[in-house]
Amino acid sequence: MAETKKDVDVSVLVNLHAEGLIAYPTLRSVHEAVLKANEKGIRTEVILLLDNPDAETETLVNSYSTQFGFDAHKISYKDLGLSRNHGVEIASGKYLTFIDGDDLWGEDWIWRCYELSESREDDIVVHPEVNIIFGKENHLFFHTDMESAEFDLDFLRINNYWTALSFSKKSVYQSTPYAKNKIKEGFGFEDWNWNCRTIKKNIVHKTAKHTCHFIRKKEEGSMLQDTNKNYCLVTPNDLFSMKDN
Amino acid sequence: MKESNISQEIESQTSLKDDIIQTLFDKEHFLNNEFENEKKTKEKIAVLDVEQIFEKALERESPYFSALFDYDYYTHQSGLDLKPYDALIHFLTQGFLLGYNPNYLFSTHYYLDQNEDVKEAGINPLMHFISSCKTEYRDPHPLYSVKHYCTLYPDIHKSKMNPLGHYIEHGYKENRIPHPLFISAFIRKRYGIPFDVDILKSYMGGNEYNINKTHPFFDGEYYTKELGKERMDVNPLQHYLNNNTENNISTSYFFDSAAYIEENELSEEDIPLLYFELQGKKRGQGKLNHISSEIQDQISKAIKLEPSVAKPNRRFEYFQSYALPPDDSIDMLLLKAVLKDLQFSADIIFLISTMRRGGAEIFTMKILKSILKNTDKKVLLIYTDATDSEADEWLPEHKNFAHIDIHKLESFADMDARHRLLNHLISASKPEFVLNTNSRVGWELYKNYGKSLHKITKLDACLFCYDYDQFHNKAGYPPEYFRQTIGFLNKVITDNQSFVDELIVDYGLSENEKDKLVVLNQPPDLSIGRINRDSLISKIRNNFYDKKPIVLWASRMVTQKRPDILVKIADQLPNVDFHVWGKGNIYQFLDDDMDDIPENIILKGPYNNLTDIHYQNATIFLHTCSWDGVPTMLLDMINIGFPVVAPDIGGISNLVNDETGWLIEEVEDIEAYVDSIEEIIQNSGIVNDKLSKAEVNLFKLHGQTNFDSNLKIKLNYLN
Repeated sequence: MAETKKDVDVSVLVNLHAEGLIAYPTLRSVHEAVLKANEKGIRTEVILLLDNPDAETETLVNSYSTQFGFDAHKISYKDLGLSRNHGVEIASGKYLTFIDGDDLWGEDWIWRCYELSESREDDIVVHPEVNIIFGKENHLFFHTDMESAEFDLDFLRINNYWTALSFSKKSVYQSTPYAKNKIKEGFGFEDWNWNCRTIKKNIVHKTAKHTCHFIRKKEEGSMLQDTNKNYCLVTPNDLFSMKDN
Repeated sequence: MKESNISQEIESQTSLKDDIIQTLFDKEHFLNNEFENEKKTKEKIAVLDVEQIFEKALERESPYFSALFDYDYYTHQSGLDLKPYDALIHFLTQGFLLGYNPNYLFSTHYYLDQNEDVKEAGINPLMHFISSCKTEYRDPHPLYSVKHYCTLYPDIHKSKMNPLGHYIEHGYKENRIPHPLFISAFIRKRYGIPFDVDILKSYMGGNEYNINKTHPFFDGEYYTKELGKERMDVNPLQHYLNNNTENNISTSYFFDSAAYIEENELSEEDIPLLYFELQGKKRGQGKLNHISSEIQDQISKAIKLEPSVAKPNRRFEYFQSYALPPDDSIDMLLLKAVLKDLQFSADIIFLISTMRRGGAEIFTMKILKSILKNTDKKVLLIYTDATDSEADEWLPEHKNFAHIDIHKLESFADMDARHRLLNHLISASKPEFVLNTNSRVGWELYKNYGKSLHKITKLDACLFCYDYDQFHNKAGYPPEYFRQTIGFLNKVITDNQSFVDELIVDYGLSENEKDKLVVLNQPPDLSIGRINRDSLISKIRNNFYDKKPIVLWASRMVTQKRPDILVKIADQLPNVDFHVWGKGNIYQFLDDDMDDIPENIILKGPYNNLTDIHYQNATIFLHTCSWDGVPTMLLDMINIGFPVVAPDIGGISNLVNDETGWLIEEVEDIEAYVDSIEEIIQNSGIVNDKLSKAEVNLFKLHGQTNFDSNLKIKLNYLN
């Protein structure tokens, strides 16, 4: 008997837009991580969110989604945060995790996050231990665990701690949807904003030991570059509101 | 004692004394400190030879040894009750044999253990160190590297100074690095330690600043934990450098010693982090990272899926790495310092460059004080720029007032760091208004982030006039920022209508933009005592009782304020004295054909406040300048009751016109100034008439009630 959607432990949401051929290694890395998770008995589904895709990306997805057993959904938000929110609504897993269409996962990502999350009674958000930045720049960015001595909440007042590629319960993403970026109006950093809002709800951000993400740094045209070029502020949130004091 | 032994003893003591005089007696220190208030005695002694000066020092029981012999440290350590010279003799003859140290950074035990030749020769280790340290680089302590210090600081190496003595006496204050793994500036910044604290001494002693990381990759707590120890007898860095354990213990999460030893084929004797610091960096290696074998496996597999993940011929372990917050984050130091002091969420935030003694600051403080007086709003004043404050005494003491001086809290903060702080404070406190007066950081903030910030708060700014460059072209904040920010600005406050008219023409403002320009007439300083007009008039009528009339001039002596015009006016009025107040050098404004200032200019020196100026005997206030708004000094002088002579620039004609004073149409028309002054000193009737009108005009336009009312109605600051 085929598994129903209700049996999914982890839904993988892949955000795609105009990645073209570089989405191929992304899909393969997702596939590898899914296989490894399945070996550990974790049931998964993969949803490809094609937000206003270009032809090359759409062709690539059409060629490989069936081969890998992924579901493709064409949407038209033209916004990463809203596209993710759409994915949250259609995903059926107890847990969700995101990846952008030009990045890669280490193959242990899903199962290690799942085991860490299941070991906790509280809701947590999981981030990789290390981000390996490649492409235009090469460096390693180690994430900080909120429960480590190095963590300092005040840092979030002036900078972001974690990337957007997180793992958490569907209910967490539902209760705290991503805010729409308004880069041209001077507000962005949807991941930073989301991190602050979840912490405001007492959700702990953890790193999963021995996990890594590979983040591709583009020559130009990345959202972060746009955000910096436009002198954006993080979209306002209440985590540090002084008016509450 | 046998006779021969006595002579040997005397000879030995004499030789010791010579050594001390040559190496440890600090002649200059003795002369400068001991005779600070006895200049003649000092001059007499200074010509003696050094032995004779030393005898004088002994007579005074103040030998002033170099920092290498720390008398207090020595007597405390040994428990001996000896005078300074005797204590030094004790160390040189016996103390070192008992293991006593001459200062906190010279370990007798360490030096002798490291140098068998010195130990066997029975030489005093300090004297050996002094004579050989710059050639042989033998270290006096595990935490002080002579070679490193001399290499980093060739100025010290080349000088006559002993490098260790330099560090103990001066180097620590200058953030000099005593050891490759003790990075002074990094530590001082990270732990917020003042410059007058010797951080190495503190670390080795009670460690009252809880210094844990002495180097980005030396984390004492991490190292101790890796060793499996709860605590150690010596500080962790010294323990590590003593190499008294296996050298594969990691010193930081980001420095894997075992991996580094393997990669670089180090021996058991090598200290990996020291090797990295001294050798590894030169070889172009990056930082070494802690990548677990589990992650390494995943990296290898990912490279097979996407080859560009790897960089050709580079291992991941040597990529630059970072975690947040970075160890040397100025942003965090600044933020922490601000959060520590800031007790409330501001309703209005004022941004000023710093508190200069200028008209713009006076104007701003009048607004600020009116808000505090008339509302319950909480007001935060931030000095944003990298300049020292001049007039903190102007700050009010009020429960609803707070003040931040970024330059004082973290002078290293760059423009971006200051912007991150301001953006956070504005986003978090969502004030009703932010008002920028002459803050460069503030204008840059408005320019870059105004698009976002004006949706969180109302952005206001004060602008008073253009500046002019040396070619008489318009300069200053208006041409730099006005066009780029007017779209985000809520109100632009100025003190004169002339400037508003100029902006409208220069920038072709729309009706909506015109509405943003607000003229706010400020009140004079009402706490200043007025002169008696009857006495003034009577003085004029009585030809000044055969004394010279006095003209008052008070301003900074800068090009804008035209001291050159003052000089020319004075030159044509030899029968009038000019009392000139203000900071600056008037001589640089003399024409080439003038050797000196006219005799009738009496320089009275700088002033901080109006009350410092002795104005009671004066008759006229003369104002000269090339560009201005409405100078606060003019307001105050009219309020005091002086007839005023001033050029027709900026908003001056609102105050001084033919009805109320003596307005000079052309800034450089010397004859017009001279004629005006002569009219005042000769015609008491006109003076009396104009003073009456000036007073009425002043309070009609510049009364406190009017000012408060405008703050309320035009700016909404008092609502």
